[in-house]
Amino acid sequence: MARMTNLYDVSKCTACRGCQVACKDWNQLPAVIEPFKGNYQTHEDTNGDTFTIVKFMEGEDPVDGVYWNFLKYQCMHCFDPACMSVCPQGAYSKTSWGATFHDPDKCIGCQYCTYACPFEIPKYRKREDKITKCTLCVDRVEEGLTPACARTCPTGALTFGDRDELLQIAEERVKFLRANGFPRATIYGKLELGGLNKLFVLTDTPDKFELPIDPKVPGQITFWQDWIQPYFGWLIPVALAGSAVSFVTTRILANKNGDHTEGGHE
Amino acid sequence: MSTLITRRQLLKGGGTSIATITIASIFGFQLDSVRAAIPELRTKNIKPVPTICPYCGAGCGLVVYTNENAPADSPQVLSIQGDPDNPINRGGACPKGSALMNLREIYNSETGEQEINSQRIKKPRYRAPGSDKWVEKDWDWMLENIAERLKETRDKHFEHVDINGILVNRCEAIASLGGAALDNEECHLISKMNRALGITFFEHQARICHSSTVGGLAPTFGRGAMTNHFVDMQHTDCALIIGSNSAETHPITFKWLTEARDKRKAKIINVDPRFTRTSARADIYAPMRSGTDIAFIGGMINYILENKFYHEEYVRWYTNATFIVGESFGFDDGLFTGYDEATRSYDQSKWNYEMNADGTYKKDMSMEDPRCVLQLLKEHFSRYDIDTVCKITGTPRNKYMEVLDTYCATGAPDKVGTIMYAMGTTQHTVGVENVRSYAMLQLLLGNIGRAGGGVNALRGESNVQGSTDWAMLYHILPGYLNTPEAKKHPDYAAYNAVETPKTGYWKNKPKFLSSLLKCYWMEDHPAISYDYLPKRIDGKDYSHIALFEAMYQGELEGLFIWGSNPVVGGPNANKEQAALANLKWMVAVDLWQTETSEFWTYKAVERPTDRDEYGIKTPDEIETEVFFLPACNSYEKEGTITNSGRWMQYRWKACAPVGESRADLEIVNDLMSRVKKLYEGSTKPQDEPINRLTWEYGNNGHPDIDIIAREINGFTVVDGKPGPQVANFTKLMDDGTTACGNWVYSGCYPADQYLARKRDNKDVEHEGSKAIGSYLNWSWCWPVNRRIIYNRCSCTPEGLPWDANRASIWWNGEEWTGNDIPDFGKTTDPNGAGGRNAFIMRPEEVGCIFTKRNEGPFPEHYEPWESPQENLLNNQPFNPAITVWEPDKRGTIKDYPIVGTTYRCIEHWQAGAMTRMQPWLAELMPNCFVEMSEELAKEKGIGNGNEVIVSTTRGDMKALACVTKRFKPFLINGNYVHQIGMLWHFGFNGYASGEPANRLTPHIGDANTTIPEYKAWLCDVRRA
Ligand code: SF4
Ligand code: SF4
Ligand code: SF4
Repeated sequence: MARMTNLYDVSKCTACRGCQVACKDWNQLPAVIEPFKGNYQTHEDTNGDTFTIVKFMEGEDPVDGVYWNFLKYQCMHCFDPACMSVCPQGAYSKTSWGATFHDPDKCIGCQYCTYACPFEIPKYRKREDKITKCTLCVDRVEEGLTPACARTCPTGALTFGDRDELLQIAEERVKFLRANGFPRATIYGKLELGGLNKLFVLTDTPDKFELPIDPKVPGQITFWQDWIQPYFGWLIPVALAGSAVSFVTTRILANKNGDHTEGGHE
Repeated sequence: MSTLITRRQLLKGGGTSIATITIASIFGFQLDSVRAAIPELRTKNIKPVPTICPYCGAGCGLVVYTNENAPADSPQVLSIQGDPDNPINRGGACPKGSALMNLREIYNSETGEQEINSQRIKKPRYRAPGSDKWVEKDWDWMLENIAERLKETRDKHFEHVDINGILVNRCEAIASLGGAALDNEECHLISKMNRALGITFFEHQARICHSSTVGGLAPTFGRGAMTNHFVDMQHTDCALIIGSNSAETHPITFKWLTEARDKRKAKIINVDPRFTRTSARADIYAPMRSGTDIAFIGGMINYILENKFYHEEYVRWYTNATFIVGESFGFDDGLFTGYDEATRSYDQSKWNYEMNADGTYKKDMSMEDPRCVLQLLKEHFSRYDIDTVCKITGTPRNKYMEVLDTYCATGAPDKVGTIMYAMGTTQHTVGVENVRSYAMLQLLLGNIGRAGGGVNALRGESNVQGSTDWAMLYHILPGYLNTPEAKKHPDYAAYNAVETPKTGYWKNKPKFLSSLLKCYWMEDHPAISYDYLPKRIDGKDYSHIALFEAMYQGELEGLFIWGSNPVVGGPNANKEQAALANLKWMVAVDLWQTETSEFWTYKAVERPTDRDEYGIKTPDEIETEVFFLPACNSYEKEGTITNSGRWMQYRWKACAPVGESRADLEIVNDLMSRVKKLYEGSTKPQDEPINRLTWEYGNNGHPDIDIIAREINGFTVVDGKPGPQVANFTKLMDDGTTACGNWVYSGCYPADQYLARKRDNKDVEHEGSKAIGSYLNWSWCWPVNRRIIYNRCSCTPEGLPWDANRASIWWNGEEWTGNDIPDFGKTTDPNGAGGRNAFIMRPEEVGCIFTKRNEGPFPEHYEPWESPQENLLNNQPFNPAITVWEPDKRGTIKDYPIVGTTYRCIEHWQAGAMTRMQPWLAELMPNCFVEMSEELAKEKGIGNGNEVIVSTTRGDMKALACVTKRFKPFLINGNYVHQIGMLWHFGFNGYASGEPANRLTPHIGDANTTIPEYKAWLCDVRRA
């Protein structure tokens, strides 16, 4: 089965955020109203009721002048997802076409995936004590529809289709952009973490879009998934009660900054 | 009407079914274990109902998936998504379109449960004099009381005959505001009702958003509308976006511009005081200080003329560049000849053309005569050299040069450029001349009437084009006929004599007036019913600002507000709010409790400082009775709206109205029926306009949309009753034998089908040519389905396309044919008489580079009324022909050194009631902010996100600072000038609330249409 994915071309995105709302419409997500903090990007991060956000990053280049970069951000549907590796309940799985699917019925809300994910994507939804994240609209795609966000994108910045074909389009686009005023244009998602099932065409280096240049699964997680989990998976309920393996979880938590300890931000 | 019936109608009218976006390549993958856990598609087997987005003027299609089995008073919507069949958006939708479900339903943030949006008002409400509370009432009680108040005020203030003995039939104590979000059928009925009541203070959003577009385009091209349409933008070689943040305000434009870029390597230029989301996607961004468009464009015109970049053949044949102007025309130091300082107006007879003895225009086809328009133009703009222009606008010279070279290249015959603009252009004391300057530039470059070109006035409300066509404005009747003025048009014959030109298509005007009068008063001869129309006082201003000034002076008793919110959206909102308290009664029809409908509450009084320039009253001091009528939303009713590109599209009904809310159509029908009943039996001649009014739209308060649509289209009157419909306006008569609600819409319902319901999205492709995206079988478009107007200009004088790859129409030796409907005589030979008179709606029958407007025949740069800079081109302090309402409120740089401007963001819409009440949009833009440069913030000690207060002579406003690199100080004539800008969407109600930016803006308007100056004024800012 061919991989199906989104191609997101930042050079066409107007940061309209139609995708952000369409995702809420389709996935039946309530609004999370946070006050304005001096940036159009009112949600600093995705959250339990917001699977995708558009990031706004402004800066100034001595030669090119002011720029305003936008980035639609959501689950990357990694080929080899850390979230899936750490999940003690097997709530995560990959569909034949590449979506990282999270089954809420199996999820116990332990949030290990949140700390494992190199993009900090899985978020805790307090009212149900579950993790949520972008589903790649599996319910739509399985019926032959495009994901809600890609369908609504007015500019064509966000498209959906066969990953190999989209990769080709992306490569050509990058070539074009490099020759037309964006010498640092690049593809993201092709090789990162062994491949992401989300492809990006960036007009500049990934750091200019707040994307990790070389994303890595945290060391502790590798340790956890390769050594602890296989042997101590049965200890999870106990761990949740705060005993035996809590030193591991504490370590993991300590490596991430701040507010995650309270159980995601809602 | 049940959704079942509407679906059936859809099928009948539509033809094609709703397609879904499918990806063929992914069919047939095998079941795996994951699939079992994947939830089933929520919309499976549900046939969606098409609608059109109620926000901006683009007219994107959306489809509503409804759970038909859900009870009417519970959530019914499953999902609302872009309509993949609609050629305008092809399934796309911006955040407002995508959030459409919130107009009815939301997901609760605490429980996640779906519920009716609690901001929707479910029952009519009444506010008694002096009260601080609403009381719920039933519809009968409300409408009875409103009809009585209406009658009382009308009877008390009605003028049947004026002091000169002229029948005037007017009531100047009642005003009507709003309507741009209503359906055409609703606008028609309100327009008809108001005229029958004698209302002269009849205004709506078009006055304050695009009146200067009509004021600038109609005298230049003949019509006031956007020349091309959205799908057509894919054909441009260069888009000059000036005075518009189209990526935000008209998001779908970027679908087509992106296409133009991909397919044609088109360039996008954005000229704007601040770097916006549009600038982020532009190839060239050129900053320009607010209020200096004429300098900017004037410099371009000068550059084009000096370097002969204009499209010479086009200019020669299709414009008045060849016309000779009379000797009495002249210009000196910012003033044209004929100026009278006392009246601040011109004697425009000084600007006449020279005529030949046979009554034809004197021309010089070589365009070398020093008195020909082209030479006069050259002389006029010779002062607009690049350095002077940049000193005025603050545009860096290199950026200006880039704009000049890139855009002026579209003067080549095979290149086409488009100008896209909106409120940044129109809302100035020189609004009309700004628009004129764009239109002139486009004529010089040969960009009008051509695919990928045009002057594209981006309309900001879903039906503001329609409501303008419906003349919800004091100065016109439906179809752009001037409203009668008492002395100028004392009777029918006089009106026709004064108003009918001898040349151009408007010579048919008497047919349009006669048919309109028959539509209103079918049983009377137009010569009689003409006098039923209210005649306004000659020369009196009844426009938005004047209306509120009159209200402020206590001259008005009653006010109808149809989906409008001046407490947030009106200029000088403090004054407009104070004015409302002088009313005896007000009727507000809306989905939500707008700030205007609650102007009498304690919330409405709160201000960031105790400064009060206009005397805002508290609830106990306000005697106004307020009637609030809950309207249903756009997909809880059916009807048509006309987008900015003039496409008249149908919206089917998808859901039950929330609570007891009703369609505006039902409300106005019910109300007028009651008013008629109150007047029944009266023998007073002054009541004839009401008693004789033809008002039969079906029974039981549910007017039949098809009856109304047929009336709009027009029909032959047989025995005082509707007979067969006319094919289009060419069949209308001036003798009272035809009736037509609006001649520009004639042709929309020619036989048994409302063409607005057409949904065949296969593009037309004339043999041997390429389709150009006309989609002639999708909906209907005025006039007579022409998609690009003035398309005669898309061809050489001999009748062949300038560019065969973008061929719109052409002459095949016998007739005009092609991919669009010719905006020209179908069989008029290009080489015969009148064969090159491409602008059929102008008396000159050519595009008018030189044309009479109140401040002159050519645009001249005048500084805004409040400006940080003296005029570098002349000694006039500001537009010499504008009315100054409040001379004492003119701020100066001593106290207010910063240029202030207001604007929109994509997430909110206009005065905000339609978006602040929606959680999904409120979360995207939850607070009002003021954008300012890092330099200014540093000077003022303001940090990003701090609370700040902005002040003008009119008032103060508190908001959050957005300190950004995207605003930069302007270097104006050697000095740095700061500009700040803020969102004007906010008010005290909704999920997202804040203070109205319009508390800062002045009551000053343009010299022709009095569109308010929202965009350039002086202010100061400090930390709160
Ligand atoms: S981005 Fe995070 S949540 Fe998404 S698949 Fe990768 S590891 Fe899992
Ligand atoms: S793929 Fe679906 S779930 Fe993911 S961001 Fe897009 S709309 Fe949301
Ligand atoms: S819908 Fe498309 S253009 Fe709009 S923010 Fe999302 S990706 Fe960008």
